[in-house]
Amino acid sequence: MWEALAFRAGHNAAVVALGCIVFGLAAGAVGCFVLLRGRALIADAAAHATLPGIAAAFLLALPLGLDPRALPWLLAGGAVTALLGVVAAHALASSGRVKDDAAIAVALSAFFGLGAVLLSVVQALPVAGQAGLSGLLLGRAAGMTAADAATMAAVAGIALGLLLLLRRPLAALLFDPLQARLAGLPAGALDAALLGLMLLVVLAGLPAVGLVLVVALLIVPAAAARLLVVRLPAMVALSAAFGAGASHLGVALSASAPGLPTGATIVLVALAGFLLALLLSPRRGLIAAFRRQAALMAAARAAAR
Amino acid sequence: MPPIARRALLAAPLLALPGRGQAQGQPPLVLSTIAMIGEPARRLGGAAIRAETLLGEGVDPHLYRPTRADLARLLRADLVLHHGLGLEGRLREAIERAAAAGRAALAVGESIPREMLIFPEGPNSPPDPHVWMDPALWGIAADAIAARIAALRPAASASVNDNLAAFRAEAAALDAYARRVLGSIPPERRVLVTAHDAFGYLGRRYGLEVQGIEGISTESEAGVQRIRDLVELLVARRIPAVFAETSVAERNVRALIEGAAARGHRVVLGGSLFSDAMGAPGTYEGTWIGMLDHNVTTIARALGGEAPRRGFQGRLSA
Repeated sequence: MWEALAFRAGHNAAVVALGCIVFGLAAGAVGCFVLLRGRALIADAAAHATLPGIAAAFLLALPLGLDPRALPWLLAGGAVTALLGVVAAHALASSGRVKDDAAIAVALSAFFGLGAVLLSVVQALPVAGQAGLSGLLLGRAAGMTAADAATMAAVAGIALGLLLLLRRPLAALLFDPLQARLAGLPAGALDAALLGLMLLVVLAGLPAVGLVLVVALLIVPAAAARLLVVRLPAMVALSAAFGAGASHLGVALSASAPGLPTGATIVLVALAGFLLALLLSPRRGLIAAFRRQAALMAAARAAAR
Repeated sequence: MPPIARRALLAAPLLALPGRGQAQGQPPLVLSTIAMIGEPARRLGGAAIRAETLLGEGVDPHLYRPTRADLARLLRADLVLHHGLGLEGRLREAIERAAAAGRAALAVGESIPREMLIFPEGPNSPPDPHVWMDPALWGIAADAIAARIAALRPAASASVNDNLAAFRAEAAALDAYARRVLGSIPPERRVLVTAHDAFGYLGRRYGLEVQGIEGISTESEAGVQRIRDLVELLVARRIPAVFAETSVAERNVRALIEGAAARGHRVVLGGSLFSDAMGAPGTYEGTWIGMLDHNVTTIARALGGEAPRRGFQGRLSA
């Protein structure tokens, strides 16, 4: 356990840990903006909507003579349909005929369903087993090679860099949309940029935690940080550190005990951290709330006497 | 709708045409789930049956989800030969439906006596289904297949018996070859590291230690610790090669090679073995004998044993 945390548990554990830490960092930071802008559900829909793109990229690779197992190619396919899924949800919601949450649910299930059908076509092909597409559903971090980890870290790193560049206008969009518009900031373009950042993070997380659980690392660290601090820069820093820490600890646990799948372990570590924040947060925590209530009751009793 | 009613509805139109092939004078349709059963069945039955196989080249039976067309094919067969022993995880329900609709079915793997099976997690756990890796066990399965085909076409039973005798003689020759070439591997190198745990029976018969990265079913995920332990094993025992499988992603195997390289021990990819699926139909590797010949020859050569490059019959594609 300790040697895994110190990156001394062998080459493979170190590769997996580094890939997951960079991803956790980016997911935690971008997640704050996604959470505060109310885009948590869209993130989940986008993650699920990568499935048909991944399967289609695999099917297209064969006639095009490309290697259908290449991770960047599969992720590019996933990006296309995730984008289509988000656009579909947005178009459906802004038509005014269905509510936002229903529109997102429709887009999510339609794209995921299409993906499941395509996977059923893929499974009967001779090279299907070789591709290991099912590993992208729940993640298969343990067998990550250095090249996979580099792909993942590069995508997450780009997201992190873009976020640094866009942090001021994005913050203005979150807290004072009217002021932002008066200042001449293009709200629509900024929203699109935020969606793009979110997509990059989702794609980076697919090989490790898989498309079903990737939303957890986008939202859980941000939600925990929100419970603990008030100001945005502090929240982003805390959330990024939390995402990276949960990834690191999750990989270390999975490297130290038999039969622990890496992706799910990372998510559970993050959730444990969230629960701690929920209990212990000085302002919004359950224990603090209980104590405030007890103090109020005592004051009321004293006043009645 | 309750499941019984749905099943009856599904089966009703097809039940009206039992054994349609036979009625038209065509030989009966024998449908096998996997090619390791289907190819021997075709060979044993010869012209007396029409042999078809549900899962094609490179398809993983652990994960395969049946489609409606598969169910229709199962319901049209005069005899369904499936493996059993928990191999066809998601196909089982479709096979049970076909059996409930009156289709004859044989779980080929379950014709092998229980005491000959491997129970990797103790006697009350599910058995390791990969019995076709042991020529002696698969010979027993061939006996059971031949008996069912002979029962289906009593007129052809003499030729089925001749085919069975030829098949078992070839399997015995393969068995002797495997014992010889795998026995030529230096004893300290007799360790087979593969993508998933499919070679337990091969290892038991020929004295190889077997380590799969993933478990018995490809549905189990390997954790970081498993990769780490295997890298440790490769380095400590100076094992020269690890093996991919044609029906399983080779990512994990590549990760092992990388991990060993980082520790200064060079491991090569010894080749791709046929585990849960065999080669293309019509090729030598697309027969059960050819599949085992390929595996045994590849393993022996990569681990430092002596084996002819083109196998025991000189028929492997080089």
